[in-house]
Amino acid sequence: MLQRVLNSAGLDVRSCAELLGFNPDIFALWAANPNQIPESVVPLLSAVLSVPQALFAISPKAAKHLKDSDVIPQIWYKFRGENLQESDREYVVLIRQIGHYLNELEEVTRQKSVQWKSLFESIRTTVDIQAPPTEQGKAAASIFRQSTALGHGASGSGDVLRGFLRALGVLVVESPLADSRIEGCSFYVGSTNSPRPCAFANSHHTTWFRRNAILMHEVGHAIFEHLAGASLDFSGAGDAHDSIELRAQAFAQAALIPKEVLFHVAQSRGIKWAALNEYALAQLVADTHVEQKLVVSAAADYGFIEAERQDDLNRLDIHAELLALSDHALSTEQFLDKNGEHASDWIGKRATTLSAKSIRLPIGYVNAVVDAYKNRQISPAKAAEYLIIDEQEFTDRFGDIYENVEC
Amino acid sequence: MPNPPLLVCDSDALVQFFLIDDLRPLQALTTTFDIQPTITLEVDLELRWLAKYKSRFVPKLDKALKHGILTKLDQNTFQGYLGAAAAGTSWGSFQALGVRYYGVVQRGEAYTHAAAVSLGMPALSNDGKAVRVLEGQMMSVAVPVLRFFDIIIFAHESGALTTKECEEIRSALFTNGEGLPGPFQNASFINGAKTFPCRLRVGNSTAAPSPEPMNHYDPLTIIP
Repeated sequence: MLQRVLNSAGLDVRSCAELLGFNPDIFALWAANPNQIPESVVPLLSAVLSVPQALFAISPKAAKHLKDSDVIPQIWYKFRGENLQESDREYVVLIRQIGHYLNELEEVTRQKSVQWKSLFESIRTTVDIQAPPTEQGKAAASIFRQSTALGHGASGSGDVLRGFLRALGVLVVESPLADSRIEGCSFYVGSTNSPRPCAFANSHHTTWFRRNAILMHEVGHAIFEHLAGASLDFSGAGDAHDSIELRAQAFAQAALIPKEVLFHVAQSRGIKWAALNEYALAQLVADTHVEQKLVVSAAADYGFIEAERQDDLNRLDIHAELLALSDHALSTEQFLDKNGEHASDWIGKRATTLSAKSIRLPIGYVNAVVDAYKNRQISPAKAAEYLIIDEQEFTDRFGDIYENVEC
Repeated sequence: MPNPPLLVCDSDALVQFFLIDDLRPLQALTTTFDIQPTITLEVDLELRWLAKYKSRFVPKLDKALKHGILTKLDQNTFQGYLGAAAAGTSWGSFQALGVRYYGVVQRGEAYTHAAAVSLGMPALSNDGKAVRVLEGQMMSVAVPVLRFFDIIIFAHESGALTTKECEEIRSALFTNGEGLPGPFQNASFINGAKTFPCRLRVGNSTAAPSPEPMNHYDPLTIIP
């Protein structure tokens, strides 16, 4: 059964074993003979591979009678497309592992966030399923903003977006995948009876402003395509044309930069729509926290500019102006230089080192693990396991609260 | 009090035995005291793939299992020790306890303590921080919890290891970057042993019975 799932997912047994921290020979044995998997390992495998725990208990004889369509989890149908490489799938395994760990951590710290469930359900039941996709996206964004803190101000929400999504219970991951075509994707993580949405943005060669839109676009997919297994967006795919992408894009735009936000920002900066130049556009981007293209598109949709001006405005090079206006426009190196931070403190503390593929963990997740450790709710070795680093590295990064304590 | 039939061993202490490449102290427990060092399936799994050493110890582990120096605490073996365990204990209750412990400590420690608590056996584990976290979360831990150096001191006292061998063991651990308990960090084995609060003692069958350990740090007295 395990072998069939791995085959269907396009995952190599040995790579998968190393990603999950198991001896590859033992893992190969389990793949051929799942009844040798220790009971304590089944929840992890179930959550990572998205296979119900009961399937691991099925005898090889009984498994022979099951069709692939009865066994293969929905998510792996999506991740075996031709645009994807094995390394993409391995990152998915890693992210799903983090999702499993987050569920475990929340059980221990009794801080389970499941607000996304009622909010997403409320959106799905309220939005007119027969309306045009962009109207569905806008209606969903309106409910999303009204039901949450996003609707409380008329300014950009990029600074609070990630913390806010995390408070809802969404796992937000931004990590550089240099060799991947994936720009963003969303899927559900956690065991099959305790799922949570995950929004991923590839941070390789993308700006913070663009990633805000990618993340909300992926949240849009997670709301509407919750039965699809996963939604994938590739870099260079161009403008959205199919209904699913149009809806997610409309959701992202209306959630991040609704008319009142754009109006308020333009008014407070004294911007004249008829005379938009590089500086004015950079001000709009800096204050709304979304990329130039989305600002221009929103301005056209809300009637602040004529639709024909979009191409010209998108061609304006605002990079220099934006750099002067917002630290978010700085590259990581520029940001570290400016603020006197060290890369090891800023990014190094979030990188996994034990997995064959390294991933940058979300700040909120790292903080939750470190807090649990400092509150003595988990051991340092367990905290290190959650951060996919070894124990010595954990204490090097975050200190040893037991240093002067006789254990 | 009779000697416990099992000593449930965790990965961190066994790694140190594999590093020094000397399992005689564990062997002495079996041959002289009828105490069988055992490992849970989770510790077996950990030892076959360690973050730092990868699969380096698999041949040594297999050899130790083959020669009976270590045994695997699988379901059948576990059930053979239920006679002395608290009423209601079962493989299922042990697994459920392991799941609870695994929420706060690593897999090896979790199932080592869960097995030891379920069967009322001592454990061998160097991870005192895990013990503190488990106790802080109101979870029972093994009584007592022996450490690698408890076994080495015991082996020295019972003649299984010479002073020179113990010194070499201390040095080998240091060279391999393994953490040493405070008393041994800047002292020879002999001097360190004087201040190390050893939790394993060899008793005498003719002497008055030793007090039964009640806490993880209480000494266990075993009789040849």
